[in-house]
Amino acid sequence: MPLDAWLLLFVAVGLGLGLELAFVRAQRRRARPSNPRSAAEDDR
Amino acid sequence: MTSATILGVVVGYLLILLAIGVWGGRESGDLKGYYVAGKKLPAWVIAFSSNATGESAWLLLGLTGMGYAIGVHAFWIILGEVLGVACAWIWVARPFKEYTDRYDAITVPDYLTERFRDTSHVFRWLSALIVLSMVMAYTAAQLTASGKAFDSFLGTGYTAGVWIGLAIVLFYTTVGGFKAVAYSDFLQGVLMLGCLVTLPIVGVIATGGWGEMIASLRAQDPALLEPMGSYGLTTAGVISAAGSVAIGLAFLGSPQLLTRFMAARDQKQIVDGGFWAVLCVIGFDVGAVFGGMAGRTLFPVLDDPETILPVMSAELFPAFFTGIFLVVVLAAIMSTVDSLLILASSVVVRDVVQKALGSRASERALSMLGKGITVVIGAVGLVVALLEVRVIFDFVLFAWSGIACAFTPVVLCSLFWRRTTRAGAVAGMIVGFGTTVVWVRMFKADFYDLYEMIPGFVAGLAACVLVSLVTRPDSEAVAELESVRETVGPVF
Repeated sequence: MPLDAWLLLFVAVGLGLGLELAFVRAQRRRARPSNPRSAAEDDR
Repeated sequence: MTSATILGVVVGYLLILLAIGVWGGRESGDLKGYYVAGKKLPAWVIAFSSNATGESAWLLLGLTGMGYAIGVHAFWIILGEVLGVACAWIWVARPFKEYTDRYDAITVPDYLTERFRDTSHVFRWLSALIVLSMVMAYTAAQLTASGKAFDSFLGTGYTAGVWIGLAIVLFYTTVGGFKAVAYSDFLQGVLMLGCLVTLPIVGVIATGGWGEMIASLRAQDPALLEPMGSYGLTTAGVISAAGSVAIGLAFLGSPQLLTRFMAARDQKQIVDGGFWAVLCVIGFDVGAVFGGMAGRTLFPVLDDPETILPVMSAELFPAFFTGIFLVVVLAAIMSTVDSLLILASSVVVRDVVQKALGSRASERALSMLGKGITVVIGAVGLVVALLEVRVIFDFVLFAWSGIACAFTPVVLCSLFWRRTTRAGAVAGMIVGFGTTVVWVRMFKADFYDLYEMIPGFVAGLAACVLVSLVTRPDSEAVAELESVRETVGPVF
């Protein structure tokens, strides 16, 4: 299969998966409590 | 013996659907239970269910046929659908879920009415008109496909095939409500994925390997391996590619898909479900296109490219798997019909009867009415399918894009643009829907067959923005949008 066909397929699959993975990682990072020291300072 | 095996597989599948209907029945005693499964669905169910609903029999017969007929030019469809699904889950789903939870909304017109503080019920009446007309046509078309599938695989005759397909869908949809619809869609989505992953693998092996398949396609027509297909880099080629990518726009705002986000248990299900939804649509589309390309190598002279999947299943697989492939075609049909029936029923009962007409009937009575309306809409679809009413079938040409163009621009503006006004949203719905119909009827053939989703979406968006700019937004709605944005937080 020509290179440009592979490129189109990889862009289609990679863009969708890449966006979704970045989104999930960002949301999980947000859901985790921030570092324990700053949480303890907040409590004080 | 072969027919008995296929029949056994089909009967087993239909019995599972009936059992799901009975199991889902416990949730369907009130409107929230019947139309959004009590908003308790987990990530994996909404992910597979939304993709199975979004991809009708077109995925199995149409997209495999496109892989067969135009080869890698169909990759543009993969790009459009994968991006559409990813963007819907990343950007649309969370604010939409937050809004609809705040309003306790169970339909998209419910959301639009509350979002724009509409007391005239214009969104409810307009949605009812658009959804009912399009759903009837689309349901009739899917029932026609059901009749043909049963007849070609089992020799039931067309009429009996239509009746059997509708009877099964009506049973589990009316008894089990949205919970049964969503879980049966999950099962159907998994079956479709399994079939579309297996088909190209077996197909490529049967051709003698990857290199053999590519060589055969190049020998038949080198354009089958070109991203711009036989058009080359011309205006027609670019328009064809853009139209294929635009198919994905429907995932951003079609009410039958937004209902899945509304029905999610909480925001976490949306974060978790998006990844599965994207993987699922990649499996669907890549499998369908490569399956069609392998089919072109094996059976190069088919009269109708859209028969490549039934032909491959009959020629390459033992009878048991042929039965599975029939089940998968039925699954694609049923997962679309059930969602459309319940969408139309929700618009009639929740939006028109309960809200616009102000019925004071109990939730239980309205839920029963909803089941009755589901049957009536299915019966109208049946009559249209059996009589093959030409006028109604003309609607099918723009049923999918008509619903998408009426709702998508307005839903996107309502979620992301604080200046959006009620008048702008109404204008966007009317112009988006109207442009789609007029484009198909009057202009499409003269503009390189440009897919109506592009002019419909652009016109709907332009109308919504322009009318909003000359009218005043509700200050409470503006503050609410900021609050929703703050609650949902940034995407990345």
